[in-house]
Amino acid sequence: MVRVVNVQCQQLERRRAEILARHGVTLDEFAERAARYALVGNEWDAWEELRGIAFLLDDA
Amino acid sequence: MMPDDSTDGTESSFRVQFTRFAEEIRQLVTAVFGVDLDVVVTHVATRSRIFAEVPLTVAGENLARLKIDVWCCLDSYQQFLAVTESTYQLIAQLDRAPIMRFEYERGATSKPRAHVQVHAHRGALSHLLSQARHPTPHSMDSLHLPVGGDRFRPCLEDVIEFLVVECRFDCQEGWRAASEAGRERWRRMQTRTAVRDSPSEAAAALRSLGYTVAAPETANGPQDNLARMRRW
Repeated sequence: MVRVVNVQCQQLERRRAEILARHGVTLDEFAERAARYALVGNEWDAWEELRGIAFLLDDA
Repeated sequence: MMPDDSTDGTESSFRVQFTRFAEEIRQLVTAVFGVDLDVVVTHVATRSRIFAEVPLTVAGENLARLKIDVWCCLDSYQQFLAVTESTYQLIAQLDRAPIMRFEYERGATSKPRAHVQVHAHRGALSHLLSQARHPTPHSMDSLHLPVGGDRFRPCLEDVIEFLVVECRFDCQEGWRAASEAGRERWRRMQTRTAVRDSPSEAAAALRSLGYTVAAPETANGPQDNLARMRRW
């Protein structure tokens, strides 16, 4: 099944804040870890979701 | 599909296009792996993210997943769907980090736009990279193996066939027909785009096949796009 989810920017921003809070880092710290190829385990899924949110918000 | 000038119309047309694209992905995966795939498209105005995770099994045991993540927007004419980024990843159940990533990043400038990254370790390679003062010599995944650029990059069907034929994950009987049909569609589309990048080569190739091809008699006729042809 294809499920289309229309989201508002505020929802995406809330989701981003949730992900960062769960991992206890700022977006810049996460980006720095990714740039050093230092992500482990669940951080991969989280980082990819953060990048996806940035794309949808057009602030990548 | 007819272009639509209104903002609402543009968004509506975009929605039709990304929904069709997502449905093609769903049908391909269902035909090959026999799973009832849930494809989620997150959508804001004229940007969308198509996301799905396909369980991969061996003798029925779920050992890995194929993560499909495609970012779409409208092209520069605000008419057709364009892929901004795509990532197809093989991820083992044992470890949530990727094993292989087949990626396309349309905006990439410091690495090949279409590339494969392999998450593995090899002492000899780390040694070489260390000697070359590479900033992350122990991360093989920091290397972006180039795979054909914008036009000749692998499609999802190529990755899926790799998983079935080379990695030997379970598949449905008759899977190859779906894979080949999708690949044919992809390559026809990419061929048309490659012709627009280099009409002179296209015309020359057609003439060599016996076609009569004449350039349009206009001052600003189609030119080869050298930047596109030379891009990494």
